[in-house]
Amino acid sequence: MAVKTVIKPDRQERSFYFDMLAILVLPAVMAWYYYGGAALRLVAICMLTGTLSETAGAFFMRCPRCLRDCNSLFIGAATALMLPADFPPLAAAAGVAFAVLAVKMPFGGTDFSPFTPVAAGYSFMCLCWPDKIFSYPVLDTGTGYVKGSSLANMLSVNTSIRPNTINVFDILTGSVPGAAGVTCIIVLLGSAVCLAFVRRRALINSAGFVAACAVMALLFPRVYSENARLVSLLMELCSGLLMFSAVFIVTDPATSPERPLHRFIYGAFAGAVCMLLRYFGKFEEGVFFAVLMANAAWPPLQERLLRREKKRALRKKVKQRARASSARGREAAENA
Amino acid sequence: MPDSKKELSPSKVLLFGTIIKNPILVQVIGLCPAVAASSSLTVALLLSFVTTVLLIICEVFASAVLKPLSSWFRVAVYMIMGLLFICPLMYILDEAGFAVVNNAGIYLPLMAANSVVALRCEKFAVKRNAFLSFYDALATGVGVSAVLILSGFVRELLGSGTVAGRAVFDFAPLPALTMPFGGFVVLGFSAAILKWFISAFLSEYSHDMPFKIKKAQKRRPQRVEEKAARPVLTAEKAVTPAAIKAEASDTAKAVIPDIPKGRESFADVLYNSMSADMFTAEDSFDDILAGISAESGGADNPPVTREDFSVSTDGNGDAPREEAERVIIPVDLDLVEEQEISRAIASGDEGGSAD
Repeated sequence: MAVKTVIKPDRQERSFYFDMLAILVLPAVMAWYYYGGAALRLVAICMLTGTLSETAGAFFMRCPRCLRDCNSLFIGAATALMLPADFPPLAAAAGVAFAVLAVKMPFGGTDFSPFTPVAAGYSFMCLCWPDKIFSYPVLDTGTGYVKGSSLANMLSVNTSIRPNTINVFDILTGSVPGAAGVTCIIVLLGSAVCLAFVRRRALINSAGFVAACAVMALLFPRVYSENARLVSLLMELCSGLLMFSAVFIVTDPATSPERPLHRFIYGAFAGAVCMLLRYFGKFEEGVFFAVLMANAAWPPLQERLLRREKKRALRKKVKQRARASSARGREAAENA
Repeated sequence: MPDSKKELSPSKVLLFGTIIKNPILVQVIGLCPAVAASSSLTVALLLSFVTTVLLIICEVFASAVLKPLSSWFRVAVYMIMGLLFICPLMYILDEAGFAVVNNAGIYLPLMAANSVVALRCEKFAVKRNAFLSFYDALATGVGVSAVLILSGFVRELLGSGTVAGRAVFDFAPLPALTMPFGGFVVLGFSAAILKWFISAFLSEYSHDMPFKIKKAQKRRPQRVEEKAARPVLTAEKAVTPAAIKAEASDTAKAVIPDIPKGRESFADVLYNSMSADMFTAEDSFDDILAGISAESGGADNPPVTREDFSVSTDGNGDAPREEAERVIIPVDLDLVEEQEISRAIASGDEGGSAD
């Protein structure tokens, strides 16, 4: 039995990660605006570490080295922008090296890894230095950094956020303590719009992810105010790494499903797990663990979905055949 | 273990038990103490000592005394022997004031029910004499101990910055390595290094490893211009060694490598990377073949030989084996399923809620 497959040629020659890297310029600019050269220095160190790690990994593990797809650069830049501006550069480099050497290269490279390297690298740093990774500097404190309380931290305390605690404009412009490149929601929305122009399909994952988080935030608010549900929706979506992950991490093509519906379900699953980890987890942020769990849980889930869809199609076909044959039989009987 | 029972010698038993079929890194058994408990060198040393002594006692006893008993009873005996060894040991160490017993936690008493001990006794000791069983226990113990000590050393050094409690660094470079997650990472890289070592320096034994590592599949297969027609062995076809050989020789080279396979789950990749003989490591291919040949007979069932399973012979010993690993027998599950559904509808079993 020959298997006929209609194949569309690849029209997009450019690497996905090259586009993502180009879009990452927007958050990087905001990081420089808020935190100065320290944030950009961290980005540069992480990108350099990613490139060197890929070269070393390809040499020692005999994997194909492909620096042209910009994946290692993207891993470095995205990881650095998710960290506080005063995070130790050596620790950041260790996280990027782990992402490339332990998660990406041993499985064969960019397209083979079953886990998102950025999420794995961030999880590694989170387990190694939890006190440093969630210690964000306060803006506009003059010389040096002073530890501030991020939105996600306030939400995790449960009763911290009251009416007029934080100005909404500050939240949207990123004038709140947080990781270097993830606080400015307006810029992240702009990045999503850019992504919609160059890689529209990838945004389906983001839509599922944000939708699931929004539903959870509406159903189970962690704030106490007059419009608790709406405030909760705003705070949850704008806090932590959620929006950044929705645009840059969940959309990773190597671990994303092919079909649009599956992409949406995959994103929604990651979003739901992320919110559950925020509610019940040890850390104030659980996006990276949620993405890793989605990576691990999705393949068997997709297998079941595909099997079910196939069965449905078969049943439909068989029923149509049965109806057609019975109609023919009836016609024959009437003719007789 | 070696391919045939006749070839067994103490040196080979030592080599296989320690390196080629290392219980933790190759056979992936007894992971619990290696991952969870061996986060420091002292605990790793204690667990290594207990495992090795327990293995020697149990394997020699099983080989000498327990052969006539049924297997379900023997497993209980292994556990009782483990308890008889570990309970007094814990008492002595506790009385002597060694803090390492507390550091090992629940994993030291759990060694009484160690899967490595039960498996080696059942797979090896009850089928061989006490002499070889002693060597096997020693080799397995050394293999387990090497991994535990290496893991404990690396994790303590990088996770806590100390070695056996003595400070080496002023800070802990990677504190996460003291967690079980760190144990998995260290074991994974150790397994990769061992595999490379065997391939590089003991290549003649690389085929005796219980599983083959397949090349990873691309998560998102590239779209290609044309896919070749994929032959399918349907349920109606008789699956005989000759048919498999004919099908494989036609398709193995030309068709199967060109077909980008569908996306596999990580569990599938892991499962596919292990062959069935991983769990029946002691039964060599010739033993299985002999069993099949004994069952077959007469004109209709000619005896099965090794040649029936070979794909092609070109004189090189490696080539047929590599080719045979690539042989896949695709079965048209859709067709089978469609036939089942058709039958169900025809017999009136299909409910109205199909859609």
